[in-house]
Amino acid sequence: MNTGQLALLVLLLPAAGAIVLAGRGWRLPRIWTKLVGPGVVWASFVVTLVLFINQASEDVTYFTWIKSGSFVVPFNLLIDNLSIFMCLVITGVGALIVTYAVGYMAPENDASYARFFTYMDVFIFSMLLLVLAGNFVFLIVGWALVGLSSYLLIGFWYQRRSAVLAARKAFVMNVIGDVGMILGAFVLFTTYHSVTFAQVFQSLTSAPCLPGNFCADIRPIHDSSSLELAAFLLLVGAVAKSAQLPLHTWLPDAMEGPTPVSALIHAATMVTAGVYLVGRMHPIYDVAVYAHAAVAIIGAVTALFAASIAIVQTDIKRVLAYSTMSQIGYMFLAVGVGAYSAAFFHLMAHAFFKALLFMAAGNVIHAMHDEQDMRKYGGLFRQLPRTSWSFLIGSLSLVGVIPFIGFFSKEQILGAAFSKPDDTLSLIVWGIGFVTALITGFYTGRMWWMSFAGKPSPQRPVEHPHEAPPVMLIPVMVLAVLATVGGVIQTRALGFGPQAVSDFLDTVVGKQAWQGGIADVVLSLVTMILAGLLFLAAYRFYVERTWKAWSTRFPWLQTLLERKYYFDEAYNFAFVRPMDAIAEGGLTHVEQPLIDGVVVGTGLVTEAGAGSLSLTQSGYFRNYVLVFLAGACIAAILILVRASS
Amino acid sequence: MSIGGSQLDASWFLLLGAVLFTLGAIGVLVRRNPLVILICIELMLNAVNLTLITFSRQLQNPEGQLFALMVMTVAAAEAVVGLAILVEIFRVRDAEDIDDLSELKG
Amino acid sequence: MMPLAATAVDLTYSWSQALADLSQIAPIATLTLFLLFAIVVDLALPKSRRGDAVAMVAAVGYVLSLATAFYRWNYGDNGPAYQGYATGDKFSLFFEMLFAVLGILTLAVSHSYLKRRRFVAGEFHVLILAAVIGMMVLASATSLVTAFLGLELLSISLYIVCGYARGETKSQESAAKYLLVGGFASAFVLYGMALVYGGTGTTLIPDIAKTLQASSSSNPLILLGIVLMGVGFAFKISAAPFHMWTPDVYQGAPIPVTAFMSVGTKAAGFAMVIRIFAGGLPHLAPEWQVLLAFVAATSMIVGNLMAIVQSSLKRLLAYSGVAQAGYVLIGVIAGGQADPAVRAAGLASVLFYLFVYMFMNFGAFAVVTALAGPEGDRDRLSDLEGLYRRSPLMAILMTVFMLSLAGFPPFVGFFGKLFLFTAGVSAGYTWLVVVAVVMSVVSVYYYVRVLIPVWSSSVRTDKLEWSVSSTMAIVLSGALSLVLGLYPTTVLIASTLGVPISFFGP
Repeated sequence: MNTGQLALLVLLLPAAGAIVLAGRGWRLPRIWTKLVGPGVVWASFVVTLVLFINQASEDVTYFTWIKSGSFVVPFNLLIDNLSIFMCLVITGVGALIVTYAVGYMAPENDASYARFFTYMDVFIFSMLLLVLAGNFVFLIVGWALVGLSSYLLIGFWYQRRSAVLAARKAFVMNVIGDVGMILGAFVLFTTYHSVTFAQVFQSLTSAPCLPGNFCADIRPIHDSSSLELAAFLLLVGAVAKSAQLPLHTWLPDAMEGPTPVSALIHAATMVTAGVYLVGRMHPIYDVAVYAHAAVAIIGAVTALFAASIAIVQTDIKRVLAYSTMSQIGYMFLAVGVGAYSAAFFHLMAHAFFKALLFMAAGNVIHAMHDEQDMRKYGGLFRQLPRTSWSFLIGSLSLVGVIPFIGFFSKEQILGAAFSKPDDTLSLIVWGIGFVTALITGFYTGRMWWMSFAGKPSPQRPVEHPHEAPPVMLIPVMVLAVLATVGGVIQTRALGFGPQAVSDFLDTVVGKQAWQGGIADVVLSLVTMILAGLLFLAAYRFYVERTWKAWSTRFPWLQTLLERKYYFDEAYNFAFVRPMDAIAEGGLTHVEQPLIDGVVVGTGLVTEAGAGSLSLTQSGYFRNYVLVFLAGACIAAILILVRASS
Repeated sequence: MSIGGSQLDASWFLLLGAVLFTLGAIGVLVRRNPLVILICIELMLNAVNLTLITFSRQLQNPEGQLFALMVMTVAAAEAVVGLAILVEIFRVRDAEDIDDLSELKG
Repeated sequence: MMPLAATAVDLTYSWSQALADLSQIAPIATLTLFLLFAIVVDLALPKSRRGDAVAMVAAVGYVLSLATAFYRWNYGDNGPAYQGYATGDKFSLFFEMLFAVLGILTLAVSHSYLKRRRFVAGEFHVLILAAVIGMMVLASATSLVTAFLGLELLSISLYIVCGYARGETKSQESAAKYLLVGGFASAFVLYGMALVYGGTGTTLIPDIAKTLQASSSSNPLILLGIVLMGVGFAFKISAAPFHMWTPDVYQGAPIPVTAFMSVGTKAAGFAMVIRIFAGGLPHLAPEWQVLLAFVAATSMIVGNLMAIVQSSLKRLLAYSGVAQAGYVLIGVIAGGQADPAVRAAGLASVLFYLFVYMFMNFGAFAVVTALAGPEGDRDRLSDLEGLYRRSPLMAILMTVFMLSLAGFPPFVGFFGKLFLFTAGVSAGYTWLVVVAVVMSVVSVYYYVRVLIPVWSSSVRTDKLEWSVSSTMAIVLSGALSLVLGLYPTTVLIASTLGVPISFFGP
């Protein structure tokens, strides 16, 4: 099989799985769902591995899909090192998580069980389509489909009102992003008259047209303002999908979905789509300097913002959700300063350790009979040793401690930001990233110590919890191993050793233009030591309570963080409530209160004049006629204005 | 070609047509009984007939008269169907007021 | 009495001329013949056998009409007939084929429905036949007189079928509202036509265009005529703010009627708009484009926002239809541009969208038709719960229809919108396209909301009974919604739809 067929196979395997499960899944014995659901993802992973081993790199056009004037959309998949890298992460981590879900979702009835795996396979397909797309149309399709499947999965337990509301919120935020994406692609199309990445990037990178030369026909002139516009619009899409400020509020609520969903979509894959987008579009961002700077600023601010909120959360999944936001902030920071390969290395590392943390947390929640409040855990270390060790590995990786993978990936980002020459902005974002790293140490410590150390909480729902079944433990352990030893493939943060990921991706995203020095390495170690100390300090705060809780000293800060900087309230006030007012009051009955008002008003005026014409008691039919006439009047005025001008 | 002397030219008939059409439209808007509303719609159609015939006369072109004949036929058919529908409603319930027909909304 | 016309009218009418005229409107004539036959059958046969027999006659009539239209598309010498009052050109043939297919689909879906609800089947099919003939007349009319006749034949038949569930107050209310608002709108259209006639001295649409080409100044009579006709057309295609009857009438009418109307009246209305505005008034395009742009923007905004809060599927689809009318109007607006390429792109996109809209919208309604029980329609969103267990095929098809309506690639609705929007941009109406894009993203929400109950489990697991004919109709619609989205679409647009619209414009 050639590269094109293999790539198509990668894409179609999960789709086939979804179709089989959607059509027959609930009728077949459950074992079929158990086999098909994860099986197709594993198969897709194997095919991706074949592509990886073949070192495939090709922009395969299967056929021309649409041809309408200048609008030509080929059916093409872009297979290069970046898309293969993303596919490996998606199918590899995805397969582990879907396998884990076989155990986690076991209590569901057959129909729901099949439905869950259908959605999961649809999601994997959509995500693969997103990263394999070779043109903007497919990118948008994949982009919208991941939003859609995420919506379905968050609202999976649709009997719960909170889940439905959370799904709706996620959907609305994602729609804002989709509109941004579509308009961005639209701007690029009108500027460069092409929707394929290859052609757009080629137009971008070819030499600028010198004044006096006649070359406008051959190649569009660089219009940096439209490029900036496109880059900002695409950024809106990236920000919404990756839950960055200010479109972040959906992610914590999305934790209403089943835990495997949180692990797959809201930690390992979908939320990193924004990073992928900026990385894929790097030729645009390299030119659009303002949008590029905005990426770095948004990333840094989100990292700090989310980490600070994570300190006060009590729901274990919400801590992880804010931590995810914060870590993706690092990735945005990295792509924003131009350290693309470092960002993707962190993306991979984060997929490992955050999926690990979520699934381990899922095991804990499972053992605690769906209790998610960390204050009601305590002392689980002895009772759930394997889960506890895995969780510890994930936590230390998140904090960034040698030799776990998180150290190498995060410190490489910080090092790159610190050492970028002649750039004040990257120095500032490094500072923010540095502070965030310390806070990360603290909240991670709080989470781990509160859950696993100390004495069991008196409110704990289960006295003697049981360790999860092997199908839920093995994927966790695989990821624990990866998070422990995965770092050896790229030890650039220490200034020596291999850099496999960067070497692999440099052909696509370009080599980082500058090299770090010894100062980075020293700073990395300092960061690690400080963060590690804060991790330990959390023990004193939350388990021994020998140190007075900081929150008693700064109660206002506690409130501010607990209310998440009042973002939800502000949105509620600015958008949701007026929208509700329109939707509930006006929208449901535009034809009633609004029109009634008009009718009553007209009636009063007429009454004052003629008296006998009583329009005050409006009937619906007459509302229609009245609106009809009003519309006709507007139409007449419009035409008269047009004709007289 | 003038009828009734030079004082009464075609524009007077057009104006009458417009006035009748407007009266019909106002009737549809303000009357409550569905039957009366139906009659008001017929008034609007006949106002158009007057307009058509006036134009036909003014333009020395028979098409307008043809059009008016067709409109009469159609108006008769519409009245028949309209009456049938309304009578059917009156048999089931007392709907003297068009506002009573407001079960469907939202 | 003075003679009306200055020149003596030639009153000779040869047999060969009669035959030639008749062959131009052969699809309509065929169907009319079968309509008369169906009425006789309905009167003559014993009660127990009437329904099936009429259905059979109607089916043969639709198929023959479709075949005639298809034959004439390929082999006929298409041109004007009856001294310019009607035409058998490809534009009319396109719509005649579309309406014949719609008739077949409606027949297939409605027959089992009528039986289940124990309605009299014969008259129903006769009325739908009459409505289809009205639509065809409308499409092939090249005179304001003929257009008005077609419009009224279509409307009056539909007034009756809307109230076909005689015992139901909702159905009665639907019929009464449609009748009264529809008659009101017809009067507007008619007055507009009268003014255009007065301003140009002819009712023949090509002659109107010629007269206007000769005169340079804009006549206020004609401008007012455009307003009045435009308002009436907007009513027929259910575009806001003249849409308010739509949800009520759609909800009250029996579902097959709603399905038929939602597609048929809209397509017929657009045929009329294109024929009269783009064909007869291209020189006043800037004026009616303003009107239609206002209507299009209002429709897209009102339709999509109102659809979000609906809990009845009929109402939801009604508001969705309002929004869809807004999208299609973008193509019509582009069809008024002077540049022939833009005009052709605009009109072709309208024809294509109407064609595919028929399948996806009708399909969605047809699925709901099968949910109806003997006591009434079940069209609440919650009635769809567990559809995927009751009939996986229908659940998948419903998903196809909804995603296609939402404009998701690779379904055909995506391409329909794409062509409309591209035409809009090339016509210079970018602001309208931006509104359309934003609103269609909003629309995804309510289309997907329909799918949630479809794919959720429910206590109801009893199998649904689908008649063979309606299953075939729905599967056909679903297959076309999917297949037309794939490769040959572009070919279809370029080669087929380019022809019928080639003669429009100045």
